Amino acid sequence: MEKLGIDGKLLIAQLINFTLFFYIFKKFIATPFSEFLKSETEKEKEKERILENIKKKEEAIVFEEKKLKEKIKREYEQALKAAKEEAKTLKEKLIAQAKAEADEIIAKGKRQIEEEKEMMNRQMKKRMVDLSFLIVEKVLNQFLNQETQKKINQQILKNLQKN
Amino acid sequence: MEINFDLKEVLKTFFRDKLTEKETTLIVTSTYKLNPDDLVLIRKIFSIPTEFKIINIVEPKILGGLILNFASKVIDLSIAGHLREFKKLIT
Repeated sequence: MEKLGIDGKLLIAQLINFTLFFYIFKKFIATPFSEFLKSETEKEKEKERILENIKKKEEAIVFEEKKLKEKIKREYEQALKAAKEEAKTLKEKLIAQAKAEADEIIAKGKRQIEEEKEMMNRQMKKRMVDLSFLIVEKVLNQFLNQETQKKINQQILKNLQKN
Repeated sequence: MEINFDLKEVLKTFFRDKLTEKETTLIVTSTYKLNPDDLVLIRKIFSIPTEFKIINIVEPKILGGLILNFASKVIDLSIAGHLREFKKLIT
């Protein structure tokens, strides 16, 4: 061993030194460090679990929000549809009402025209009759001389006598 | 309106006489003056007592025929009257 340049005592001392170092390292550095690493790993895991939970809750909230939005949208569409139908019904009712009123006005106008036509016809008839009778009176006035009138009176008295 | 009592009496008498006169008078309206024979015939036809008067009024507007007025009664035998009736029927 001396020929190889290895000192036995030094080797043993180094071995003992190394063992001591190993023992001290293990007891005072490695173990606490590994426990520290373990605790850090657990903390990390705990963090991840918490994050996972939060993420799940967030997803649930988003889902709920989405459902609520859809519900609101559906209700809005239903309300809009109902309002449109009501407006359509009201529009049709108003149109029908306006049409009925217009028809009534037209019928009233026609009736008035007919009445006025009737009145004009009556007035014209009356005027024609008046004119005709005026002509007849004038003609009779000229035609009936005293002789004719005497004959008429004689006839009247004769008829009265008979009765 | 207060009317004088005497005036009232005079008016009463006047209207009474007029009414009495109307009830005892026959008014004959014709287009020409009727001769007495016609008036006698009328008196005979309507059995009018002799004390009742017959007055003949000439009215050319009746065109022809006679109108007899006695009290409130009117007998229209005139041509104008017939024309009026005919006109009423037409209109």
